[in-house]
Amino acid sequence: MTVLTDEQVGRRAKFLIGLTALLLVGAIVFILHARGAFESSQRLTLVTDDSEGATVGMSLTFAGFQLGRVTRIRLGEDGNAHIEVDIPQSEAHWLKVSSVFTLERNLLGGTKLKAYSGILEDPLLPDGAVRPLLRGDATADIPKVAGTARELLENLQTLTGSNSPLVRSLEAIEVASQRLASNRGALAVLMGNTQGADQLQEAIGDLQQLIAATNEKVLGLRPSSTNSSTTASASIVGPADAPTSTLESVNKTIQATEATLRKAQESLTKLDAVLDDTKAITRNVRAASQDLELLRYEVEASLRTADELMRDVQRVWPLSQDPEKGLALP
Amino acid sequence: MMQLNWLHQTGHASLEMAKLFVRMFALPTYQDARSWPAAQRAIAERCLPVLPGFLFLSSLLSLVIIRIVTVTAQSYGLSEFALEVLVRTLVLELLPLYSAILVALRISLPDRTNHTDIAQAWAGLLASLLFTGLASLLAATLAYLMVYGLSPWGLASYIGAIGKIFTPAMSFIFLLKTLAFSLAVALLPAGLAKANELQAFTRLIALLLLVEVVSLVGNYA
Repeated sequence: MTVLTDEQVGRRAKFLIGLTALLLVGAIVFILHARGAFESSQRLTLVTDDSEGATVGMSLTFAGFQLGRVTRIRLGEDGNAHIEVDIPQSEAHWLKVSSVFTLERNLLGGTKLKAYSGILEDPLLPDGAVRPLLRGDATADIPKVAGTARELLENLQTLTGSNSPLVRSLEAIEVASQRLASNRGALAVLMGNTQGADQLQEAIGDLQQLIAATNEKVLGLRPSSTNSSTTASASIVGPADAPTSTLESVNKTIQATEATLRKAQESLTKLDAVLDDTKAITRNVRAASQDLELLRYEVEASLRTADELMRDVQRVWPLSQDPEKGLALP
Repeated sequence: MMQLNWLHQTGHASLEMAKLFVRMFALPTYQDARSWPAAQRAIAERCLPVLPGFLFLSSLLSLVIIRIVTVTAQSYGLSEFALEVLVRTLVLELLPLYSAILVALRISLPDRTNHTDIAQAWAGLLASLLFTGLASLLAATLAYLMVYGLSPWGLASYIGAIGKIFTPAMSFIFLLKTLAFSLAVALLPAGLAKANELQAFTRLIALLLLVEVVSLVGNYA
């Protein structure tokens, strides 16, 4: 080792001592600076019912940037946790009177204290402000979710129970679809029983006979169809003796009857459509039943019109058929 | 019997160390007039040559640990905590211990012929403080560079994170611990006059670990 002169030794020793002192003082000043000791700050108190996860020294962030630091957490007289945050004046302008503060707990990682300022034009948050702290907890929702799930399962159980409204509705739909599948089809569903459907079919048959008879009597047309209509027309007195006005009115009546028949035919076509509608009952029971109701009214109305017309015809023109045999309505 | 012997030895060593401590910090009037130039010479001749090697080794150690911590933190998606972990492990715990051990082994212990020399004690004390400070500064800088690169935009949040770690209590305990390490390193030769190499090293490690454990209890218990 080379022997150093006293001067060299003094210089080097002073350099090392100076460096040590500089490091020590520098470290202290740096830490004080990092902790914001040289900045004037303003105080913000955040009030929450549960300060779990909040620690002294944790930062309050705004858009991911640190604004201030928690300096103290105490339990206030009101039973709420009061979290005091120091915010340097240089950063305080980000906080407005309308700012919202949240404490977010995550499953993994630390708790975060965040500030949100929606309206940046609002006035600044005053020094010493007290604001509520909203809590967002990733784990807090788990019991709630579990409770809701249990409730849902119970509801589902009630819904699918043996005596539940849903099961009864499904049974009713099954009965309806069985009736649909029977040879009476949608009519059985419409009438609610088989007798009604039979009566309706009979009535339609009667109406057809009547029209054929009327055609034959009034216009001399001879339908090539059934024997019954031929026998019916044979007993009707010919139109030659009748006055012209009566003939015209009968013509009108017949036209009306034809229109009514077309209506009845339309209704029957609609009845076919009803079959499709009724099949959709399982999807939309209510809508379908409303449609059926409407149709039922229409059919009823048509039948009533037909009935009235028949009576008119009977009144205007004496028919050999039994006037008592009208159309039976369900 | 063995315990008694150990107690006697420890008591004697403690007494010798206390004597040296008193002499070190006694008023200049009571000190040998030659002690200041001697201390200067000890500092200059013993600390400086060790410094470059120490800085190289400590940066190597820091780089390895920084790399391990940042890569691990990244793989778990916890990069934001990497710097905090690094400052806590390296600056607060590992580097002061490492510096103290190195200073003891390279500066204080080798020359035990003048074990009660105040000059050498001062050299040990100063070297320990200086080396700890330099190693910490270096590690903090390297950690920043490894995480943020040469960009200055992470500086504010890095300083904020450091400010968050160094709470008053933490800073105080850190300062006390560094001083305790330095004193231990400076005074230990006085207590190890009769010990052989292995005994000296064992006692040094035991004393430093004791200080470390006490500081850990103070910080985290």
